[in-house]
Amino acid sequence: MNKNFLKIVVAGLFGLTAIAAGMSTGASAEGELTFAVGVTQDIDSLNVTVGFLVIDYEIWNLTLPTLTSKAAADFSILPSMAESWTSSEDGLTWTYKLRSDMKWSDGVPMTADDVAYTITRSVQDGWWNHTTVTGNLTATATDAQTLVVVSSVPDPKLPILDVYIVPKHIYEKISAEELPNYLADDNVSGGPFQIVERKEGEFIRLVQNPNWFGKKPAMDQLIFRTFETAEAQYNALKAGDLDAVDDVPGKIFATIMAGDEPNITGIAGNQGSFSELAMNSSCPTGIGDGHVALKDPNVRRAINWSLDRQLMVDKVLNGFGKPAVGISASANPAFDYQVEADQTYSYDPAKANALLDEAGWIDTNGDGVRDKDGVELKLRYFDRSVGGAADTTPFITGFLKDVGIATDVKTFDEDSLAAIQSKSEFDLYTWGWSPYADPDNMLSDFITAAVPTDPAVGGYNDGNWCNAEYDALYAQQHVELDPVKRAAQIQEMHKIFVNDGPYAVLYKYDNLQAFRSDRWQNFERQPAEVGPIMFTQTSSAYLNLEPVSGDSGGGGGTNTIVVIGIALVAAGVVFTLVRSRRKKSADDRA
Amino acid sequence: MNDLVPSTSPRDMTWARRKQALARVWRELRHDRAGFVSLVVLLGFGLVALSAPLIADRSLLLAAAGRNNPDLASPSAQFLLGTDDIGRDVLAQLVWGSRVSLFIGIFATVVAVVIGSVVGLVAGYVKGKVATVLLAIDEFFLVVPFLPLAIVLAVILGRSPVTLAIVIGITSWAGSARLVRAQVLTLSERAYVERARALGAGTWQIIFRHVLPGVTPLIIANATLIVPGAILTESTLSFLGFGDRLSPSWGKLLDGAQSSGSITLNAWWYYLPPGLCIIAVVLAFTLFGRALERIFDPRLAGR
Repeated sequence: MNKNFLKIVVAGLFGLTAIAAGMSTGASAEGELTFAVGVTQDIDSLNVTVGFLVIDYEIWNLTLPTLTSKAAADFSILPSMAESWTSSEDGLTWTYKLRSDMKWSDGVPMTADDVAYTITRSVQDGWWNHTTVTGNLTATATDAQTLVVVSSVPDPKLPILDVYIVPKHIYEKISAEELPNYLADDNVSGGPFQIVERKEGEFIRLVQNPNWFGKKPAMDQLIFRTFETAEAQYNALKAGDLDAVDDVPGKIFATIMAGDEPNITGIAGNQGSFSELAMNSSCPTGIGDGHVALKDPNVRRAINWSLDRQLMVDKVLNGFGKPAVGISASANPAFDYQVEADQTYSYDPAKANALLDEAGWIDTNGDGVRDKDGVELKLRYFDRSVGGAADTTPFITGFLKDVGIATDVKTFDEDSLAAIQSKSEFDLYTWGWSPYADPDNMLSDFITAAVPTDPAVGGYNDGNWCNAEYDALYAQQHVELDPVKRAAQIQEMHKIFVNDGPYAVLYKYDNLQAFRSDRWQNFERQPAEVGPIMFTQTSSAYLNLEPVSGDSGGGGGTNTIVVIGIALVAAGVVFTLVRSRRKKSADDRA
Repeated sequence: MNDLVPSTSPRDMTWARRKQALARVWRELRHDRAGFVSLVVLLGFGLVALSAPLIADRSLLLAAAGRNNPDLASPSAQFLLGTDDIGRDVLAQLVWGSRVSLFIGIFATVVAVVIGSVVGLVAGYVKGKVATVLLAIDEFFLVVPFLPLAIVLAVILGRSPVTLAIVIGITSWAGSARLVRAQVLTLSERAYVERARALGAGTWQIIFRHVLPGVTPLIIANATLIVPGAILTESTLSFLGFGDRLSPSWGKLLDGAQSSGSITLNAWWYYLPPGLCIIAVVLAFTLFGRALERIFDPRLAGR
């Protein structure tokens, strides 16, 4: 047994070395230009009607067409499937003229019929990624190149019509009941790339779609490889096995930004992604078993006051982000709450204590935890095992304890957490969102209609919160065509949400991405100057990346860990030899 | 031997015999170099764990404790083992971590040994259908891949130190049940057990009064060999992110070091100390267990 334990220890050490050294690259044919990306998130579903993770959207951006596109710099409208569009006098009817040369990757023509079908079917079946855009629309294809879209109400999201278009000839064969379980393994693409191979939890491989009607990418092949840890992924980049990584550990990223890695460029891009602590506000129309204290907006405010957001930005994000109290409604910061975090909920435990006292939660039995009518202020805290907010948990529980709120922390993976949210059976939990370009979708998550009422169906309102005033404003901005008025309504919504809402928003975080700048150039940020390169609204950066001329792909760089490992083993051998020799001479003397 | 003479009652005699046995164990242990050194190492770790509050204040473990400290600072007079990725004193976490790691290691062993001994005793002495069922369960736990099972249980039962210890205990009793059963099978054929049976002793009385004392040394030696496995398992679970995120165990330290990239950044003070502590304790428990085995079963001595 002795030996076995040593074996385990040694195996563990070698395992660490192997992880640190990174693994071998996925399959790639000789002479092809491959762009390999490391990611720490695995695809949830390739089915556009059910998936919700950022990586899913990236694949859809690359394989599904959209009616129009958005400029990388500022999200203004660009032609894509549609070449031109005109509106009727009242703004309710839009007529799009489509290109005539479009084909899906399997050769079937791509026409206005596909778009009309997508819009109609998404409304019929209630596809959650589509309905906030298409819910009020009816679409008809008058001929192969003409699409007429009629909105029942004035719609500020037109004419962009920001939804993925699915191939009609594939989807019409799948019934509404089968669709949620459809694996989307048809691999029919209408975007710049098409999927050729996928191994769950390992990688997804895409190649150029020969029938793509837009700009051709320089790379022949694009691979997303899933890594268990951000550090292993970074070391694979450093060793030359990857060309880019999303999610670099903050401490390491700081060394890249300090210029310690000449071949690697770091981009800290912000596109509105934020992390929050959701509080179960127990909306009367909802389900679940949220703690009674969180129904009181003053308790929720107290929690907001108790958090030191700046400390979390400094320590958890290593400064790559900024404190926030309101959600980001859009990737475009113009739609953020225009009141700075320190002007609303600053770090003020005294204020939190006063609010809790006022709300009647007082520590009557002296155990350090507040209580009221015999109920302890002890909250079930569901902690996400990975992702933006994971490392904030020890901080948040500490801040809450400081103001007399106890927590019972349980850690779950994303899927289990989503299931708990669908039942609203939690008090607190950590999560994060990355918004779309148009603010409507993100804002729609907090209307009463989005509160989960059936665990099997779920709902995006993960704070289980409802507010009639918010609902009314949402409905107004939903149909407001004047951008200035709409912006004002959205600001008002932010105000209600921050003051009364179910979130303690923590911070907006940057996406920390790194690239082999010795191999690739022309990194396009989205939005301009502040945004990231990959995992953006349109993922157009892949089309613009160019190989650095004269570079034939990097070789494996030396890896310090391997060197250290070898040195340690060598030292061990030397030590053992020296020791046995000494023993021998001692024996000789005796 | 002389102090044995005045004893008259059976109870006194039993105690004197036990004292004598203990003294013999102690004497032999003192002459067993590996066993003695490992005992000293273990006592050292135990002392550190018990005196943790004197060495470092508990508040140093809070996430916000590193508020004004630099992150990943190398060792200095202020921070003898440097700071972690959020500016907390590594030494404080290492010292408090010894509590969690040792507690889980020992508590898990108690769970494993209690289950293992009961199953082994019953399966070995009672025989028949009961034994068949118990052995089938035992075999299940022997063959089922241990780490996935522990991970699944940890996810289901939760991640506090106590539940983790129970999880580890549940997954590591099978071996000791086998060991105890084998010993019970030989003991139950001995003449003195036969005699007790002839005098009308019940099954349970024979198991607990006559057989159990005979297997106790084996159980103790086996227990000290389970502890290192339990400590390693706790570290593994924590390292894989299935541990209790709010308790500062050594495995948690390694996990923090790994996820913050301190290996790439060469922040050795963050990952080396917990790694070395795990190795030292695991090795010490193993050597100590071996020494006990040799003492309790002299036949092993020559091997």
